[in-house]
Amino acid sequence: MSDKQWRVVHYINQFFGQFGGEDQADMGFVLKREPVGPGLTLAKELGDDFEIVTTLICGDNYFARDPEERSREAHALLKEIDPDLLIAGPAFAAGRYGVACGAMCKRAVEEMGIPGITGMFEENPGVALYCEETFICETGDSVRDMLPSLKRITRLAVQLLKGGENPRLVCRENLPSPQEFEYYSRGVIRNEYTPESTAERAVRLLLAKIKGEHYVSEIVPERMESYQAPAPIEDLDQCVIALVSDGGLAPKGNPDGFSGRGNLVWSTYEVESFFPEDEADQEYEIVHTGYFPDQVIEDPYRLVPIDVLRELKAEGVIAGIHPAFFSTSGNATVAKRCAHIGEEMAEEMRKYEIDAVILTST
Amino acid sequence: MIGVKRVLVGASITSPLGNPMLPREAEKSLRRAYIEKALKILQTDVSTCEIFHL
Amino acid sequence: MKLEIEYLDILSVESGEETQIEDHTLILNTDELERELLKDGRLASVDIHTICPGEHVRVLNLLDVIQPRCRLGDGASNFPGFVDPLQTVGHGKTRALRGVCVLVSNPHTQRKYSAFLDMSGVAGEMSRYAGQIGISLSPHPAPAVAERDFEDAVKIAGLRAAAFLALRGEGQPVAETEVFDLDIPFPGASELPRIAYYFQLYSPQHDHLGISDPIFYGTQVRGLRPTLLHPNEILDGGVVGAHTIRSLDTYTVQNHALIRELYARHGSELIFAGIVCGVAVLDPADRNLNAQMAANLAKNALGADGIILTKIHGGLPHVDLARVAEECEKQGIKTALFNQPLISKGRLPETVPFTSDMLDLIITAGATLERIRVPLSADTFLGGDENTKIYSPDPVIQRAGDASIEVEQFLIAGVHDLLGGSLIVVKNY
Repeated sequence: MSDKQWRVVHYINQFFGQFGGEDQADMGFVLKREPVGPGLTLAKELGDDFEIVTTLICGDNYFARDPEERSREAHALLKEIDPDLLIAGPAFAAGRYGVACGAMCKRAVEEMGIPGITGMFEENPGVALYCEETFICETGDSVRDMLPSLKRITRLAVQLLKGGENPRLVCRENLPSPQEFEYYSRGVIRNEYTPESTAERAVRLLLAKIKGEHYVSEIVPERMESYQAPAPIEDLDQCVIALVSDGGLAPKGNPDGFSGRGNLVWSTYEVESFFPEDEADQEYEIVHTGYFPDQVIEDPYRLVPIDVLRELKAEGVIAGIHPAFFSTSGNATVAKRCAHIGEEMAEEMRKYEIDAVILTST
Repeated sequence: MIGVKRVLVGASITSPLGNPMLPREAEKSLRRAYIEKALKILQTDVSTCEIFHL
Repeated sequence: MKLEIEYLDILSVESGEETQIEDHTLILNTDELERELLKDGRLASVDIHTICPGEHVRVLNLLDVIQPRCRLGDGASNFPGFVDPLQTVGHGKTRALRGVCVLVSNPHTQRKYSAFLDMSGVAGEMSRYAGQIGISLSPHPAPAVAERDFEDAVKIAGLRAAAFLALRGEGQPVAETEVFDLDIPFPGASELPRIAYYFQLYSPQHDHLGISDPIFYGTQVRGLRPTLLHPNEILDGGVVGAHTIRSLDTYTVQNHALIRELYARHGSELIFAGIVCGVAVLDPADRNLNAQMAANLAKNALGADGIILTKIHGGLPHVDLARVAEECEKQGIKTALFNQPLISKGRLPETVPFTSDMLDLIITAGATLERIRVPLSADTFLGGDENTKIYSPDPVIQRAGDASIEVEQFLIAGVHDLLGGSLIVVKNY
């Protein structure tokens, strides 16, 4: 039995902090050196190994006006306290409170290097915004669920701080299962040991599918969101074309730090200097482990067709080529990040007169 | 192909707009054919994901 | 076709005057084994070490892991096309040694990454090979042998050693016999659902120096059109792993988990309808043709009601597999396909690099690129040394002797199994 006491900061809003209701929603931070309101029950649930050394109370409106800034302000207030854990809420269905709790936990994880745990109802907007940044326990939609929610938070807190490696995980992390500990998935993917081999599962599931019995795919593929296609170009000879590629083409030395797999960055390179018209020796490299790169290194036009575009421009088929080409490396990068990269590129493109984009992919 | 509306199938993974088996000029003509097709697709109205070939 | 595999259990290893097996002990004369391997003139010498579970050894630059096996009877060919002359395998009797495996390394490899194995510590605990006695081979090339030629010779040395060791088990008591007896009945012979298996053998995107590894009766399969194989041919040495493991070494093929599972249920829950083999390709027209041919064989030659599809490691192989599966579904064959999520952050549906309403049953066959931190527990290095680079996709240099390395799990031999043999499922956390 360890005599270590884990130091906990508890964040709550003006209502649970016993200052008042909506009328006090604009209040700023107040720090108390002991548990307050639901914090008293929380302290009892957490037991002797934990101590709520500080309760931080704040008005929902005050926080919601600028969660990033407010959480930064809170962090400054908590600096000397040096806690081991931050617990926020639970916020149930309250949206502003949920966002505040999520932002507080995220700040705790990122700046203070400690776990953050909160609790919310599934429809609370804080869940979608913060479930990947911190642990958000499932709760009912109202304060009637307070005690079960605090028990869930406690159970998770004890596991995170006192538990060891999760023996079910191949990578041996101390990461409890979302189903078992009743928190929303944090959007991470893990190998888990299981008693049934992949082959056994495959045969069992396929037999169920053939017999028309119930089966659950181990991955349920998503249908992609549909959107309106941009209208077609009308006057091609007035158009400026920009080129984009995810084949990992970069100047030798990879100055922008593309990664060969799971890459997260992109850059633009000036066409005139990267592909000089006289084709003087340029030094390229391919930063992409998903294909054999020699053919593109031998002739980068096979990836970024500047030579043909120059011809078409000279003939007046198109009006111009955007002076920079957009380059990234697309190999096992999670789809969401790919979408962000696309959005970032589009935002850059909007600064210029670009009428259409040709994107080449390996 | 996951939701993109205008897709043109390229020559190969290791050489999307080329063919190392061809002599240089012929390869450039092939590349031009792909780009001309791409420009045509950009001038085409599409409502669903369409996969075009050269 | 009927194949009987007779297993001998090996519990310990010793050195001795003459290589033999006695009382569950493998007695090994390493000079004798080396002489056997040097029959291949491409090798100048072979370093041979025996290692036991728990030892502080790290085996580097692993090219293959093989279970010692030999086919019995006059004129029987072992690993035909690789070691012995060509012959269809998968019938008769084969002897296998359990508890020991051959680990063959290429200490001169120029490949970007190779597998490794620790016999102790974090990586050892994860691997099914670390619990077995290992015969580690590190061949060295004869002068003027080209790189790819030497690689093939290294591969063959592993297979040759495997056969050599198993042959020494003559006259020893058999611990267990497994019978793989399958004459595929014609459709209509039974009410049970007919389940076929699509075995994606290979993908070209990793061909080192643009050359394909021979894996099929001694030949490479780059241009292979879909074809039919009997499962016993796969179990008995007709197919081997590629040169860099990637969770699919020869041992994994010899102990093909999905084939064994289909055999186990054949006649009681299903009819094992046979195997279509194919390869992934770069060219989309080829891909479509292969997909249609594979589906055609499954439907019309095998009469399949359902088909399970496995794949080679990599992203492109997912796409080929999905095309084959789609064509199968179009023919009315219900599919289950294997998938490796290749990212650690995201949601599982985002890891599927294809969209198809038809493909609604996806089996997770390991998140093979998941990272693991491995503190050093070895003081001896085989197949390389403490300066041997260990691959990382991040721009860092890490070496075999570093106090701690972070690796993607597919680089550790014996953790993941692309043919269904691992006890691992991938979940969203």
